Amino acid sequence: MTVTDQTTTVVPALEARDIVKRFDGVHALNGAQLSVRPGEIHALLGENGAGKSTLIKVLTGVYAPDSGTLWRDGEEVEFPNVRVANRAGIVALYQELSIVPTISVAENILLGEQIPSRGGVVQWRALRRRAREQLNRIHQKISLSRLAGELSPVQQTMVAFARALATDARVLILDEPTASLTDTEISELFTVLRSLRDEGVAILYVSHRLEEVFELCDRLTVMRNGETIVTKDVADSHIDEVISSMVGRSAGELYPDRTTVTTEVALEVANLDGRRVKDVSFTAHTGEVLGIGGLAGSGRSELLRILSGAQKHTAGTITVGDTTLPHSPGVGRALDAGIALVPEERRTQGVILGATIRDNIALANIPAVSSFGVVDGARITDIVRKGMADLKIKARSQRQPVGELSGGNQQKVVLAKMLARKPKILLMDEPTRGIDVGTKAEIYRLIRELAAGGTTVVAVSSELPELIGMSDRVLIMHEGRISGEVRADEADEEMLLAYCYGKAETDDHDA
Amino acid sequence: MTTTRNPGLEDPTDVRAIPRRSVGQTLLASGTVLALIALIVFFFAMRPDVFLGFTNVRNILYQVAILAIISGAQTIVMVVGDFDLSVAATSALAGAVASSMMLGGTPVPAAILVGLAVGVLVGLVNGVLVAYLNLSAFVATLATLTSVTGLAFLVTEGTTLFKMPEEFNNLGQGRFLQIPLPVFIATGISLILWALLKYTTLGRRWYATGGNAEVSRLSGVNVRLARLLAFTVAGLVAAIGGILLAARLGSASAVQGEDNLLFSVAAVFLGMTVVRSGAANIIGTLVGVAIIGVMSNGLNILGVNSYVQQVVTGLIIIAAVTLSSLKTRER
Amino acid sequence: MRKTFRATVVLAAAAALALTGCTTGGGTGGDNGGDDGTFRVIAFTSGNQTPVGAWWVKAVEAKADELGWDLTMIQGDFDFQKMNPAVESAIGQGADAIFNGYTDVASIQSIVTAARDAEIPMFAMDAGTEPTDAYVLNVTTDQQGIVDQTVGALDEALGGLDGKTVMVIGHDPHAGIRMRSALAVEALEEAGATIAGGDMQKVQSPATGRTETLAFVADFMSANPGALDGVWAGWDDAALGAAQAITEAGEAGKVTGVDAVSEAIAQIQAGGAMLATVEQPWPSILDQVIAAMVAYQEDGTLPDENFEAAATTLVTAENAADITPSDKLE
Repeated sequence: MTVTDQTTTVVPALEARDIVKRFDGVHALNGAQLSVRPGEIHALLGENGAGKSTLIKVLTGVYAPDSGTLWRDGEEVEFPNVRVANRAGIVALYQELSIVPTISVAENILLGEQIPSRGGVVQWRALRRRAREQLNRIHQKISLSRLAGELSPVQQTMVAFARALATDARVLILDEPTASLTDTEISELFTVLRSLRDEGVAILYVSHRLEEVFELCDRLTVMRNGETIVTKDVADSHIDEVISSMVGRSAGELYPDRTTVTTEVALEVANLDGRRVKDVSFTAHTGEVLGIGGLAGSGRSELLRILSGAQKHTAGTITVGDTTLPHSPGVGRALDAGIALVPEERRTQGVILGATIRDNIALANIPAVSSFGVVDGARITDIVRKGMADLKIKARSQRQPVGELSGGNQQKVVLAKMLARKPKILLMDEPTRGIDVGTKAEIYRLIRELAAGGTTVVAVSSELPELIGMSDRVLIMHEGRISGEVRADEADEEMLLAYCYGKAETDDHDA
Repeated sequence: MTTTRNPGLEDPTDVRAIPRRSVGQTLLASGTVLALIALIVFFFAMRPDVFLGFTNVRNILYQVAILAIISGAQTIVMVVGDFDLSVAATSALAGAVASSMMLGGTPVPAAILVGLAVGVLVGLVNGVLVAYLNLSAFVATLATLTSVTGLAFLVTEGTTLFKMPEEFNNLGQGRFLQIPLPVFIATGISLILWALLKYTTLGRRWYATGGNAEVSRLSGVNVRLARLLAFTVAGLVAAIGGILLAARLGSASAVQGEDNLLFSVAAVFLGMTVVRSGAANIIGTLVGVAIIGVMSNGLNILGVNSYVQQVVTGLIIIAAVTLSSLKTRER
Repeated sequence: MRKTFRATVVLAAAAALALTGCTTGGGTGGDNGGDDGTFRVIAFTSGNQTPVGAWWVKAVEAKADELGWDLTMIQGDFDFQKMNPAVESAIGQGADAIFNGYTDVASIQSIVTAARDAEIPMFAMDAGTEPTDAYVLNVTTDQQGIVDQTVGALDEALGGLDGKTVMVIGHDPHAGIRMRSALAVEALEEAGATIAGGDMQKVQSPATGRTETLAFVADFMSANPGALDGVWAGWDDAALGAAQAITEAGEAGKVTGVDAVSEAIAQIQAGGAMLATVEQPWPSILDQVIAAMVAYQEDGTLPDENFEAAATTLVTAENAADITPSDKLE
């Protein structure tokens, strides 16, 4: 945990010291440190869940830290809310949340208390002049009277910058600003960011795209598990070393031993195309646990949705055993073919929280528990009892509402309801999200037992150790394509992370 | 560094810099105005001797004057992205309160002021419920609608109040230059609301709030205050409409003008299709009010069954909402 | 058929009362709760927001007080979805008689069934325009008489109806208005008058009756200046809207209404477009129904006829001063 800030002579524009923030007793931040100097672009890096977003929210007054201090230009400050942070010159720009679409560009730039007025009447000429000044600072020629909603994404981002500048922002926090921009737009954005830096603005730049960080930023800070791992000059860093410090060392005895995988092909996907999914082909075998990784937005969840019939695809085929599914089969026919999905959003897509365990399981299996349209209570009891026993669901009775169960047991209910259909292919999106460590191990064991029993499990996870630990084989996606495939027992996290960033080999890049 | 990201999307920004107002959008925007013109032309063709004559045009204006005022109130609330189901009920209560005070001997101006204060009060309650207690506008204003109607029944004791002073009734029934006074009052209020929305910081804050409340809040707009004030002003304007309706009919009951709720929402929705931003606005609302007024008058003149009129009005509302949602989607 | 039914009702009611007497009165019973069980009445109306409905609620409560009845009053605000279950659950708790004020039999079929099952007799006033087995007594006003009086007044004021143009304003959901406005169309056409606009104009909601009628009449006159000789409106609120439209247009048409509300009476006295209205004798009708209920309370006697239509009074400038307006009943 070495925080290396050698040049102590520069007073940081914004500094966070020993920030601790817990949610429900879980540490989101555990002594995080950050120091952003005026006139630098500072990258904030870390895996999902490392604590970056929580830290940003503490810096901008969205969350109050449990302990730790914030320092602005060398003075200790407190930000009880966003507006106070804004007045202190700290402005965060979020991707989806930058402009008011229905009003003009000029008004967007001088939104709020900054609209020049006399006696409550807007001084349009002054408004336009001041808005123009801000746009000139970032060399933008956008018509002031256009509706902001009619601008291109990069122009909207520029308008948001101009507004931040108009509030005299000294610290600008950008969260994944390039996510929806084209290359041309990105280089335009970088030019603007550099010129703001040269004006002395401190910029905190959060991105998953390491190449961009190495191209744009002056220093970087890596976070992991709510702690700051390292802060150093980009010039002194190497991309591999950054990746290792992001990944860290962990693992443990969470994962059961692997079981035998047959050579029988259970699922064959060929040249699948769809929203966020491009030309994906792979096979999965009976008894195999196939892990799928990738960054958020890489298309991994969309791939699962297509396989489960929940999302349409534009080209390619899906074959289960000997049966090729019809094009865009829909959930019903995919289920009939033996493909079942355990969705990511358990509480909204997986279970009905207010309903009982019994009803949740029965609802997903109405054909199995009814004859001639009449539901047979005895058959439900059988199915539910078996599911609860097989999965060791801890509950008072079949009639306990699912909302009263722990996250792990809720997830088991979702599994039970899908397993009652005896799927050949079980798709799981983030199987252990929001589940405590003890139950995680149990879920991994269940997955392994299913595989040993002849089910093919395809599981998406954003946690690299989990991918390696639970799978037999791992596919990594990058921008809709499969960028790498490795046997899990030969994989390590650095290698997978490199694939996640779309790098075929780890050593063909020098920063 | 130039890994191909988003292939096929690498169009230069200058292509996007030209206004992206498609032909479809232009048609859509002018569609509502065209519909109004088409209605006028149609009814004129059917009854050229009557429809555009002075008497009938005056007749139409008189009939829509109060709807125009209440739709103005609805416009403001819809600018901030909410809506107010209690406008018509509030207007009825304000008319009833003012009338019952006059009958009790209160001078006309004082009674009117009390009626307006009642409107402001109901608006404030709506505003507090929605902006500060975070109730959904639907639930909050549905609740006030119910209570306010109950209050109006208490005030009128279930009867229809009448015999208000002549000077009061004149506000609604008098004429200046052959034109009924409510037409002038509605014009004046529409002008004031238009200027309020367009030229004041308050109006611009309302638009910013309605456009994107989160960005506005983070940019220092006091979003809660903006919404509170929008409901309050709407309450005041609705009260003006209700007091004027009492004067126009020379009577006040607890439920009169009930249909103004539905028609005001329809008018604002129609009006939202008129402008590029798709936001509620006074000029568009007036176009919407005109469509509703011309429809009703024209169908009456042609002797169309009122149940058929009801069906057609519903269809027009569906068309308006569909149009404005198409428009939002296109952006 | 009706007779047998009534007989069954009487028998069954007696039996039921004996049973309820047992549960509530502690074992006596036999006659209609007379001894120590009080006479329990469920009264309901959907029209409590109208002045007459509000009067009825107060008047029935006062009578019940006077007679020592145990009264359950249910007010429905024209919301049958709310009112009917409330009445049904009151029936479920037991009662000796039911009193319906102003609610059309068509809207309360579920109440009728519940009452029949519980074998409780239902008395009513102005609760349907035709005889029905649902009630042991329904006293209403004579719709044909109302039409004869109002059409007669128009006939006299216009110097004969032949060739005259008269607009008829109706409102279907209200049984009384629906019946009398249809009768009015018949009577007017028979007298040689033309119905303005080709057919009856139908108001959509009683709440906006006045503004809707105002628009109908104003638009008709705008399209046909000078053509409108009269307006026959099914109730006074609509009539007042029509009168206002005529006055504003400066035309000479005459308007009749029904209800005798004070505003209409005042306008009739003032001598403008408002020509006449009709007084319906609600207080005497109420007295009549209450008397029938008391007779039933005392010895189980049910009325001989289950439908009666009371005569009404035409209100014109001559007698307007002597009429108690229906919204000022006490």
